[in-house]
Amino acid sequence: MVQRKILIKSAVMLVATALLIPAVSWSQQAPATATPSLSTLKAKYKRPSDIPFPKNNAYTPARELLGRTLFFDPRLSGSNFMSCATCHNPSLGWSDGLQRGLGHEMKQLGRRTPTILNLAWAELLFWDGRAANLEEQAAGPMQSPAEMNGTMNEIVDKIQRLPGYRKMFDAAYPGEGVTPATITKAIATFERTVVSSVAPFDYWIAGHEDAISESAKRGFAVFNGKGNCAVCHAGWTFTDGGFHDVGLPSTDIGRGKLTPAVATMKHAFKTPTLRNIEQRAPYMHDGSVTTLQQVVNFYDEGGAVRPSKSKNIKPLTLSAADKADLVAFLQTLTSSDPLPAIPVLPRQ
Amino acid sequence: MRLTTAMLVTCALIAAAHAALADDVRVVQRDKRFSATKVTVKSGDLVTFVNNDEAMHNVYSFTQGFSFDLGGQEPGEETTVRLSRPGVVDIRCAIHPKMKLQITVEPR
Repeated sequence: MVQRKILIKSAVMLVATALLIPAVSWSQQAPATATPSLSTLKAKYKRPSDIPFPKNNAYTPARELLGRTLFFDPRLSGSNFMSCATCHNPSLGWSDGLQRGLGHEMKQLGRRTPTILNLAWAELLFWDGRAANLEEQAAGPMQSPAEMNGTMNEIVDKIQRLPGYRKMFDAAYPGEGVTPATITKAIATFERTVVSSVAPFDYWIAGHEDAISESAKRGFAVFNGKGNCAVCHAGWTFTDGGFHDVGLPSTDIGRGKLTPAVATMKHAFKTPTLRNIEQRAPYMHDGSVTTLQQVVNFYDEGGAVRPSKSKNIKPLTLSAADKADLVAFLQTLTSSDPLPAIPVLPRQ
Repeated sequence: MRLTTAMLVTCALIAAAHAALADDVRVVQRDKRFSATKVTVKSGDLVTFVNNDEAMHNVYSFTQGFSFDLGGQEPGEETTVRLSRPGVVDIRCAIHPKMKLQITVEPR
């Protein structure tokens, strides 16, 4: 079902692009740049055709609808004021546009709100990887006193008092009822369906040479070459899912708290996806960098010198043209994603 | 001739070492993957992790009763852990979470 949905979306986008690009351009598909090494490189960025769902929480439309409804419901918070979507706002790239998130009573949190885009492919969630999967992650913010400040008992109680919700749970998880497990499984199912659509970069990967600018193509070469970006921002999601200290000045030791025996995990944070990156400024785990140009400058300079820093982060000596090309490339990763239907929340 | 002799001695040493560690297992890290996703050993066996990759790796487990962390492992380095009692141990790399391995430890 979901596989079909992605294919339809991609096909519609491809037809739309075909209408926009003059027919002559199709015959100019550039063997000149399609060298074997470039082809091999491009193959690494091919989009998957379907979304992976775990066997113990397989996809059904009823689960997606329930998860989407819960995701937008502020009654999952202690104050009845904050929903998951308060911070993971689809209009802001599934983040909040703030330097750092705001939690219970508008208190600033320690890290920037990460996007939920393309998490179906993620292993270990949160900036420090403390949750093993999306179901476990979904339970975290709801019960964190600093974030949504709820308790699972209260949440279950509030939800199961509403016949409208009980019906939805019966349809999604027959016989299982409203439980912490079914609440988090439904939210995780919805989150797995949040996938970035086909971007200009994907059209280029698919062989449409005119889909991105020459500057962006040079930027792709920098990204995979002297910029060394692809070593961590790997594959079609532009993340290796790993944890690295990039040398950002900070007292937050990130994953170092969970794996203290691994020196390189001090100050290490999860590599974020670069899909739709233009929509999610400010950048880095602490929101300390305002623009993509500044992000590129930061990596060019090589970050702070400390033992935990990844060996892949070092001064790059990029030229001004390289940097401009890199930013032009990053801008090709933005897709026009359809916004989700905002659900009507059960009131009784 | 000297080379051949040296090779024979080396092979003999490797064979002797292999005989001594007949039940032990070696797992290679390459292309940000473990060479196996599941292995089975006997209680008390050694499992050696060989980093044949270009990136630094790590081996840890948070499985209850087996919790360990072998620290950072540079390319070319090996780390070893002895699994001394039966159970199922989930292993990961702290740096690259897609690197997963499950070791089943059977009674000796």
